[in-house]
Amino acid sequence: MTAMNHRQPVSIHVVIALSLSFAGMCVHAQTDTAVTSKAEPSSPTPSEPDSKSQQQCVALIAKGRFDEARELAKSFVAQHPKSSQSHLLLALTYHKQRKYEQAEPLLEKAIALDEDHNPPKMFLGWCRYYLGKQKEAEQSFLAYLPTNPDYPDIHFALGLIAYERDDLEEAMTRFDRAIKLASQQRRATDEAKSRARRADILIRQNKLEEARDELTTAIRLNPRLYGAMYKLSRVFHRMGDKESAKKAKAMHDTVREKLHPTKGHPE
Amino acid sequence: MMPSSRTIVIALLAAAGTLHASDMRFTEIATQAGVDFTMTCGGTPSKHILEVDGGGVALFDFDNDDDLDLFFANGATIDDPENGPGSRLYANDGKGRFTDVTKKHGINVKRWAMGVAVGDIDNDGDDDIFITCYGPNILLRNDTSKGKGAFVDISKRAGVDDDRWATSAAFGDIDGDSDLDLYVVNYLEFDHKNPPSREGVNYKGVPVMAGPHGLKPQQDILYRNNGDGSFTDITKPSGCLVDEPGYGLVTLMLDFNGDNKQDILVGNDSTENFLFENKGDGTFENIGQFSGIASNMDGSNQATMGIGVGDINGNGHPDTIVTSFSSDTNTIHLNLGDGFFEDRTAQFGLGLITRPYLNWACVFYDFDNDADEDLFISSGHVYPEAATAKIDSEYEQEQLLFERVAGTRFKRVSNAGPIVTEKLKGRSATFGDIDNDGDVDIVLTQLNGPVKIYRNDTSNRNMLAVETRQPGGNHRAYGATVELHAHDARQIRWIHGGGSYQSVSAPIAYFGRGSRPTNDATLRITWPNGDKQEIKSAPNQGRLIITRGQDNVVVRPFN
Repeated sequence: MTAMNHRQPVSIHVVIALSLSFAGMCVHAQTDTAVTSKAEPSSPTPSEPDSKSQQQCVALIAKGRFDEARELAKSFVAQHPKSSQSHLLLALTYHKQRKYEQAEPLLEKAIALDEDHNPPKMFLGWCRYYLGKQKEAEQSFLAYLPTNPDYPDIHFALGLIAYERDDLEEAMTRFDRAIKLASQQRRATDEAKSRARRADILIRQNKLEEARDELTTAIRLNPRLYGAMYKLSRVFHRMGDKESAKKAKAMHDTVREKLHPTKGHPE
Repeated sequence: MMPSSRTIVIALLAAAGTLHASDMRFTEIATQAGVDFTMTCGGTPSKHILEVDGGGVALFDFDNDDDLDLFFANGATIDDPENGPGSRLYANDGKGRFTDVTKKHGINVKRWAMGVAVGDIDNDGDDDIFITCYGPNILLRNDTSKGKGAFVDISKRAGVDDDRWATSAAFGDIDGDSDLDLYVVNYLEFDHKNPPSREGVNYKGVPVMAGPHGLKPQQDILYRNNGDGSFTDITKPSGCLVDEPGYGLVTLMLDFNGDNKQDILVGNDSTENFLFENKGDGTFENIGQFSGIASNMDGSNQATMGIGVGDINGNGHPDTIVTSFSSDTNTIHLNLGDGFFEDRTAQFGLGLITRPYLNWACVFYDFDNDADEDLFISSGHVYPEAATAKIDSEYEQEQLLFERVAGTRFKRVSNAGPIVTEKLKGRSATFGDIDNDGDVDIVLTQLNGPVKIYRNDTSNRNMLAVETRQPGGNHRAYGATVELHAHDARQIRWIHGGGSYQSVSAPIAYFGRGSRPTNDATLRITWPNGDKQEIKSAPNQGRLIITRGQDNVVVRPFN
């Protein structure tokens, strides 16, 4: 999936967008995260791969053709060894394939090459999150935050970290902020996933009606958010509404199977 | 002396709050204890899914001499699954020193064994052994105190020699008739002569073995004990025949809703878990989905390997943990007490921290006797490719030990000895006080690796080991609940069959009493038939043998 990033005005116009939707349980990572290239489309500098090649690489990643994308990205790194963007692209060929262990050092290198290059910090945060490195993930997200305080996904990420810490107050604050920003920026999928996670807290607090409403809104905003559908079925069960629970579960099963058909263990 | 890189890493992680320094100490003593034994499960490296589960282990007192003996369900190899190196029985001398008595007691199980369940199936006062196999399952009647002093294979006669690939099993009394019924968990259809092709099977871009998805899952079996040592398959009439079978790996029989009827929890690999609620009329209803225990909070059917049970939030109801695949988290399900379970993994600090590990056995025990239950989880990957290719998880892994801190979170322990630092191919595990010194020890099996016995060297011996007995059958009282009330606090344990992973732990309720125990301990036992019994002024340490309906409690000191 590709999308234009209208969020921040940039002098560099090439935008690389990758859908970071993950299979399995990582529903909270169903997000569109934009990566702003540092390259000029029409006037590539010697230190960066040209924008057309970058777009080709991104397209390959988006299609799941990771090996081809990787070969291309490796050529970027070989030709531009000091390019943070080249390292980011190579890292993303692993990141998108959920090979976080291999993506992590490349993202660290991308940051080391250009401390002002922010997208690698965000991706590094997610890498570390999925590698179970909670503290390090939080540090990466916090490093990204100052230059992108209005980016909903960063607050969503920090909300997840707070939830893992069982700091529900902080988690709620972060999700609320993410929801507000996403709503203002008309980023429906971002708003939806934050509402779904906010509902987790409401369920913990036994505020089932509020959780139901939050999950219903989340699903309306993103009809692909199957994790929220499952949670909604749980909430209905606990409220004694078996019929609605059954419907929500059926919706979950249909959407999940459509988006992530069972192909063979374990992917 | 310069610290090793490992030490530095641990120190850094500890500083980052990931690891926790604890008073727990374990020493590996397998060879010293006389268990110099390497488990077999296929070849090395594993090429097929049949070769990755490892074998189970049981800790039980087969000879009724008041100590815990060991039985290992050992595997074989694909070229000859009927003729492996054989399962083993070891007798304990009462001090934690073991002698191989496999031949002495007539055990000749060469078939590819997977798991083990233990129970007195004929109510003659000794524990019999049920072995799940790749091939017909095996029931060994314990006649060691009679005649030729041997275990006798009665599988066929007893009607439990089903030949589907079974992994785990559990005994329990589902109908309250004081004999032990049996639930057998089956995995999938597999033909060792024609194993599934690995072609096109990838994990994170790395070619790996096939399964379980793509292979046909098998129905499990529920057997009712006929009262004469034979069994009847009641899977269908009981309602345990499901529309969509799972890839079963573990089971546990326990009363989850407090109605004094034993329910059946089944952990399935990559498919939803089942919770069969005992309706009390000989039938069960699968309420896994309804109750919320079938999957994690996002509705994902996880690769459930093991199940542990404990009262994590202190509400008196059995909560569960299930272990899972790498790049996923294990899951804590709190039993809310109203028929529902809720995924509260993150609340207890057990979410992200387990993602790098592929976990198997899992249990809650109070390893440091500080009056709350800690957590042990075995680890080791199924894909040998993890040793060379990067898949976000290693092939050989550290075992995970967590200490319960301040009644809330579990903190990973960094300094308990090799048990938490050595990288192994961990699989099944069993738990009990093998040297009778007042703390819970750990026996761990590996995939095609030596057995490990970790002696608990905690300095605090204030532990109560409560053994339940009842006359008239089910003599270990599977299904009993034991509560310890002291100083306004309650600890609760369940005596049950199954759990952990393919294994049996001592059917004993272990209670840590803390370093300064109060003198007001009261034990309350709810027997499987619902009868209640109370023992006031329980001692602060020692073994207590409590028989249903008898006021006379046997108290034995630790060594």
